[in-house]
Amino acid sequence: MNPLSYLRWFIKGIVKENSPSAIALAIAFGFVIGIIPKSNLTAQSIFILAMVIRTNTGFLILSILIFSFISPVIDPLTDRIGYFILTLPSLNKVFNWMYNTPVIAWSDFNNTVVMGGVVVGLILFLPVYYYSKKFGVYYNSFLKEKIAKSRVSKVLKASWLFEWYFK
Amino acid sequence: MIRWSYLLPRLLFILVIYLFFYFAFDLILKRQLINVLENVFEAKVEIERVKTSFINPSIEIDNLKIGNKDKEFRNLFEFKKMEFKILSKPLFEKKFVIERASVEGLGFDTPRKTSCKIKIKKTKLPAFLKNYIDITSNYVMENISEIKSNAIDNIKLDFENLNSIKLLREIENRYNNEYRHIDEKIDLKAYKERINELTSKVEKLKKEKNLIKQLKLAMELKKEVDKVYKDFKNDQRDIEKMIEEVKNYTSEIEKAKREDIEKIASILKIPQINSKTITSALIGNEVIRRVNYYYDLSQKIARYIPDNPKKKIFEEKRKRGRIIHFVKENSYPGFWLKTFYISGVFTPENPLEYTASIENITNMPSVYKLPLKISLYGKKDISEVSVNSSIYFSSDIVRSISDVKYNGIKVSNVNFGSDKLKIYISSAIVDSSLKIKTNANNIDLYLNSIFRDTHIKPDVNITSSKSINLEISRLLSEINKFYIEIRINGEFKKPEISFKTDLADVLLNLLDRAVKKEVEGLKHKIEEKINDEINKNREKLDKRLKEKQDELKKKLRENSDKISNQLLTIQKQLVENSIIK
Repeated sequence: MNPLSYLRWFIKGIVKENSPSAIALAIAFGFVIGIIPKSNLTAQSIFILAMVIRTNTGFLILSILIFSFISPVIDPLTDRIGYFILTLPSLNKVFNWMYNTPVIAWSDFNNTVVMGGVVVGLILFLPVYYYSKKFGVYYNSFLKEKIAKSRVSKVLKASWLFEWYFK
Repeated sequence: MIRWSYLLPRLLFILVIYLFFYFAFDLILKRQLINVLENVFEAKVEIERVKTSFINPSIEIDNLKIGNKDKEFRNLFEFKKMEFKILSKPLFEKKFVIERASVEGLGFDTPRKTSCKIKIKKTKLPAFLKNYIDITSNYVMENISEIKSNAIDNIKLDFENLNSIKLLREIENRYNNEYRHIDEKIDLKAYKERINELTSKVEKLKKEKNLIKQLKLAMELKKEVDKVYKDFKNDQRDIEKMIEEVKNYTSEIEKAKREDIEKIASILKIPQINSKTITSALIGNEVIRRVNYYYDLSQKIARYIPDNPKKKIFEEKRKRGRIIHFVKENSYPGFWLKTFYISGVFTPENPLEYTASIENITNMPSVYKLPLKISLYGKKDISEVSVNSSIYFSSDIVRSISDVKYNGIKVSNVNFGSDKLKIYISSAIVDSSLKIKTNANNIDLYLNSIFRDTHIKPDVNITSSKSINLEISRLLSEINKFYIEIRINGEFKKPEISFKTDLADVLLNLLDRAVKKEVEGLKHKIEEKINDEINKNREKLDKRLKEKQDELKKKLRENSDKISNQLLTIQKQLVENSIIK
């Protein structure tokens, strides 16, 4: 995917009419993807899932960027949680099976930060969704118009390349 | 709820990829294979069909023919069918595991209807082989007929550039430096200082009032005087020895002279007639050509051998998190061909059927610590071929042992020699044994081939005498058995190559009788000329050295007398003053 496509999605997602639940879903998915390493099948699958269901693409990309930026702060916690889960004797058989199963091995589930990140992401998914929905209502009422009228949006919208690309 | 605008293009992309693999992939793979193989073998490569399947992963190659770059209308080898069946499960781990592969109808040196020549950038001859080519072509056969007994009289020698004359100049400079060093020693400055010290101590002793103290000091002084005297005598002896030492530079000059003779002989195109040079001229080019071919091939193969396979396996680039490992049921290397079966007919000339297998071809040998094994066996009537090879990649240093034997193999149309002496073998039976051992970067190869029931058709034109040429021709055509031995050992990148054949001995005997006298005569003439020049220079040098020696001896004598007298005076003073009685 080229960077212009991301930009297109991002601008579109930010300024288009969007329901608070789509924004909330995007932020919650972005949170999960943001806190885990990206070069594995787990992150890619969650991203595809988020893209397939109607989440707000702009907020999805924005939240991935924000949570990726703060992920080094969360890493020590997710690493510990991941290590605890991966070394649980009761789950050893399951992980052993996963380790020996093709494709699943590409998910990097045996990376402590990936495992910890997914667990933390799942636990916090609903709380993040709940608060993000409130933010979605606020955004639609107050922020969206301001952003749509901002200089950056106007410049981007006015550029012939942008117009041509959006056709 | 589903975002089709996202999903549809991706599904369409997958469909395009599938169609590409279904319709175009085989053609592209075939073209790529041809390109790679043509680069490796530097000759035309033909493949009738390549078929890949992704559902049951497999590759099939039909009717592959690889041309022989040295024989335009022969194939180096060809096969009817090659099949690889890849295990699908490890493929999901990006690992290619081939349980079984097979090649049917593999034959060597088969005829082809069209030319196999292609325009391709030829590989450069490695430096160590180029050196051998120079040695083998710097001979003999081309020049024997050109020998002229008055050759040396007609050329003017540039004596200044002869090694022996240059060496004489060097020796003079070297000895001048040595004599300068001796001259410095002769000065005996250190002894003069020590004697002055002793004299002042004697004066001090005379002034000493305390008799016991005076006695004690006198004893010490006596010891000191004795020591100085002893040291002085030793040094004097050493210096005399250095001056007198016969400067034996005869052997050095003799060695340089021999080099000069060979150098001039090569300028005059006078051949060296000995077993080594005749062997080089007879089979050298052929051996070097073949060594170059296999060396080049091995270099290309070596590119695919991992230099440190362990590194690849244990390398884990993880910036974030830790990796927890679980028990791996089947740990596969990135590429692993368990067994590769080959069957075919050896060559059209030797149609013996054979079967072969190659086991454990892998790019990560430390996962499976089994050696790569190659074995081949074929037999028909009196002909027999066997190959046994083990290559150990998993050890710290890569080593291998190979043993190849073939007996009763028919060969035909073999050429040895050069334009002036061609040995054409129309037919022969060859018994060969080849042993190769490699250890890290070192190789030790020994090949012994016996040609029997040979039909030799020689074409001899090496001497100016027709009768001698005919005699050589007759004797060569009577030979029905001869051997060739080749040994290559040393560092893989620049090994020593030596070869031997009894054909050379036959030729040597004949050439000894025919032209050796003439060659030796010419060399003797060259030696005489060089000797004259050396003697002239040598006389001058010896004279100069003698003068220098005499001068040094005189100086040493004078200085020694002076020091001896001074020491005697000190001893006398000690006695005269009754200090020591």
